[in-house]
Order: sequence, then C-alpha cells, then structure tokens
Amino acid sequence: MTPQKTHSKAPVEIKKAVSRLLDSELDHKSARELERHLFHCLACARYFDEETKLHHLLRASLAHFEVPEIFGVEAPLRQRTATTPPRGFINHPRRFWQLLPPWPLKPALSYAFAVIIGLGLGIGLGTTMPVENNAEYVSAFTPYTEYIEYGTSETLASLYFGSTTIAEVTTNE
Amino acid sequence: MNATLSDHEAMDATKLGDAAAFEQIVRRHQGSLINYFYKFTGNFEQSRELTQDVFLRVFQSANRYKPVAKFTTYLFTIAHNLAINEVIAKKRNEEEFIDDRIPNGYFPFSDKTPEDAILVKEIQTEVRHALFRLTSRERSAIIMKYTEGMTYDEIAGATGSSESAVESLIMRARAKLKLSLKKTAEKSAFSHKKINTK
Repeated sequence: MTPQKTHSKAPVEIKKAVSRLLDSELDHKSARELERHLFHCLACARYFDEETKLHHLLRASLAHFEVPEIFGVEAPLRQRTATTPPRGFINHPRRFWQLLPPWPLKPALSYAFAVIIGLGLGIGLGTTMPVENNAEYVSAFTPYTEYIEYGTSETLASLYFGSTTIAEVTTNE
Repeated sequence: MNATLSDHEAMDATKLGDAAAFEQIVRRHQGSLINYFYKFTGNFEQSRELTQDVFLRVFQSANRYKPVAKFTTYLFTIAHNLAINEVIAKKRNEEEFIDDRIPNGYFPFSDKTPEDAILVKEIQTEVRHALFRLTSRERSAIIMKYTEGMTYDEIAGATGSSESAVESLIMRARAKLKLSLKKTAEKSAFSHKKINTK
C-alpha cells in the first residue's frame, strides 16, 4: 500500500483492506498500514468514510433483536419431535428389496426376478385347464380369437370385454 | 433437569434420547435462527416455521452429528440451505417478502420516541428493500455477518465456500447495497446515534 496523494478511485487492495477492517478480519500490522495510507490519501479516506457509514447503517438496521418467549418455537417443536423421533432410534423393518445386493447387482437381479415371475405366470396361465362337468378344454392364451363350439351346448361361463364376448366355457353335448 | 450443557454435550445427550438436552439447544439458538430467517424472508411466521424445520433436521440427524466444527456453523449450514431452497421453491417478488405485520413490540428500536421510530422504521424498510435486491447467497452472507456477527471462516463453513469467496461475496453485496442506499446512508448519518442502539 504505497501512499498516494490523490486518485479518483480507491484501488482494489485498499477496498479489500477496508472491507476486512470493517469486518474485524484485518490483522494488526495490515490495519496500521491501512491507517497510514488513509492519512495520506484523500480518495481512499473518502471511500473509507462512505464504507464506514454504510457499515454502521447495516449494523444498526440488521441488528439482532430479542424474540419474545411467546414466539419461541419450543412448544410447536416439542409436538413435532414427539411424532418424528430421531432416525437412528427407529428400527425400520427391512423390505425384501433392501436385502438385495447393492448397485449394480440390484437392478439386474430385480429384472431377473421379474422375468422369472413373469415366465412362471405365463406358463401357469398357458397350461390348458380342465373344466368340470365334461366341459371343453379352453386355452387361456387364446380366448380372444377362438373358442371351441361343438353344436348345441350349454354355457357354463363367459368372458366379456365390454359388450363383446371373448371367451365361453361350455358343456359338450 | 439437566445442568447447562455445551452444544456438543447437549447433542450427545440428544443422541441418547434426552429431550431436555435438545430443548436447551432450541432455547439457546432459536433467537439467532428466527432473526436470520426473518431478515432473509421478511416474514415472521415463515421464519418461525423455517426455524422449526432446522431444529427438526438437527433432531432427526442427531445420531449422525459429529462435532467437527462449531455447532452454530452446523446450524447455519442447515439454515442457509433451507433459506436458499425456500427462495428457489417460491420465486416470490420482492414486495411479498416485506411483512409489516410484525408488531411494534418486536421491532428492535421500539423504545424510541414515535418520531424517531418512524424515521428508523423508514430507514429499516429501505435497508430491507435493498437487501432483497441482492442475490440470495449475498443476502444470506450479509445477514450472517451483520446480525449474527459471524466471521468469514464461519460463514464459509455455513455456506460451503472458501473464505476468500465469502470475502468477495460480502464486498460485492456491500457495493450493491451502497448503490441502493446512497440516500438512506446520508439520511441516517444524522440519525446514526438514534438508531445505533447496540
């Protein structure tokens, strides 16, 4: 910080130093240097005055105010903490997917699991099922397009989609 | 009833489920948080809610708490994040933040004469308006500095940035406030003694 007689604008280093001084962040040695500089430099001294004014204004306007006890948050907080205890205190029951190994095995295993279940379900549904009372064997995979009609028959069960009959289980006369 | 515990001791006790220890923390720090949020949002009710949210988070994550820094830094880290999220969530305009419903009794300078109180309130309103012209990060840093008297190091810890970044942030914020408050600073110069109650 070289002393200068006058300059139109306070240099960046001086601005920084002034800012640090106002915020009580400047060490003693630098504070003394700044003081010496301000004594000689009119522009910087003016800048310092302006900053000090603003600093006082902000300090007064943004001062900490005491919150009356009635507006404390203890009472509402007591209710909220009673219903939500600390996370560590709860023994959450583990879901089956939490027992699966972590990424990247988890999605792969989940997918494989879904495929196995799907296939199992498909095979189960695809098997022809005997219908009691001498009923025709109906495949669950082909109820939309065909069902077997053998002359006169008695309908045991029908499957509708809207008003359209898509499958019927009938007795074979 | 517990004896007065330090913040770290109270947190340790909270981990073990000691509700009274947690209440000590709340009682000790609620004023600072309400002040911070009130100056940040301009809404007293909202600031109380946000303060509750901060404490609720502290309570819920008590088991994970490690006393690596000052407790207030930890508290203000949560507060800062909540405040920033609040701004992002509610892109409200400047006017909506200003809440004049706060009764006179809770106004910091209410012990002054009515004339002084009017002038002071006028100046404060201008300062608050200027404050809302800052970005949320600048506003947060300025409030931490002027209301809570936090150091650059503490602000850096709470905002998750470096000390030099905080220094620049505060400098930039002050330059913006200087522009906005040019007239106010002059007006307040003569009333400086009046409003400087601390």
